[in-house]
Amino acid sequence: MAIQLGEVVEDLVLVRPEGTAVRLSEFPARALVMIFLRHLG
Amino acid sequence: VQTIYPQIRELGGDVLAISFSPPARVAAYIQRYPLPFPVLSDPDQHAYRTFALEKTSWWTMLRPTSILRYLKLMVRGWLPWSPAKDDDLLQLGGDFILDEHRRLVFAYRSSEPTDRPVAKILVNVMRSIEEKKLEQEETEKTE
Repeated sequence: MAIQLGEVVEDLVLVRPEGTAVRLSEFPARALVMIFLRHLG
Repeated sequence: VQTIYPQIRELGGDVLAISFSPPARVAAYIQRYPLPFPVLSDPDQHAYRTFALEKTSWWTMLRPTSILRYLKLMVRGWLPWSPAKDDDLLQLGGDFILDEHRRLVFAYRSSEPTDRPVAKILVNVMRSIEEKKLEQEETEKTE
């Protein structure tokens, strides 16, 4: 089921370029713009 | 987005770019094309699935309108980077905005490879979040 407007997104784990894991919650901003890329290029 | 990044920062926001490419490939990419905001990797595409980002078809990729849009991007200075062997060329992107509680307040899922929201829309959403936050703080003060 796709996430809907108004719902809270889970604290996703992503990976930094150097290979370390990072959670969304580690970016303390008033709002977070998430840009999902297609393939790099 | 790079052009509106300073405005987003002024509004108290931040930007994360997310790629499904492995971290080493992301590192090589940002070394060649530095970006002012973090670029993170989602190699198992869990985040892509969480946001229900779709896949396109080869037919859509090779449509004259798609090719024309790529040509326009190239005229504006964008240069294609040859994809890696295991890149999922059909995976589409998207743009989302979360508020400070990680609540989804804006969602734009690309319907074809070059489909992206106008950057100004992202700034407007950020501005409305900031305004709501200020209103809320004012209300709390007066109560």
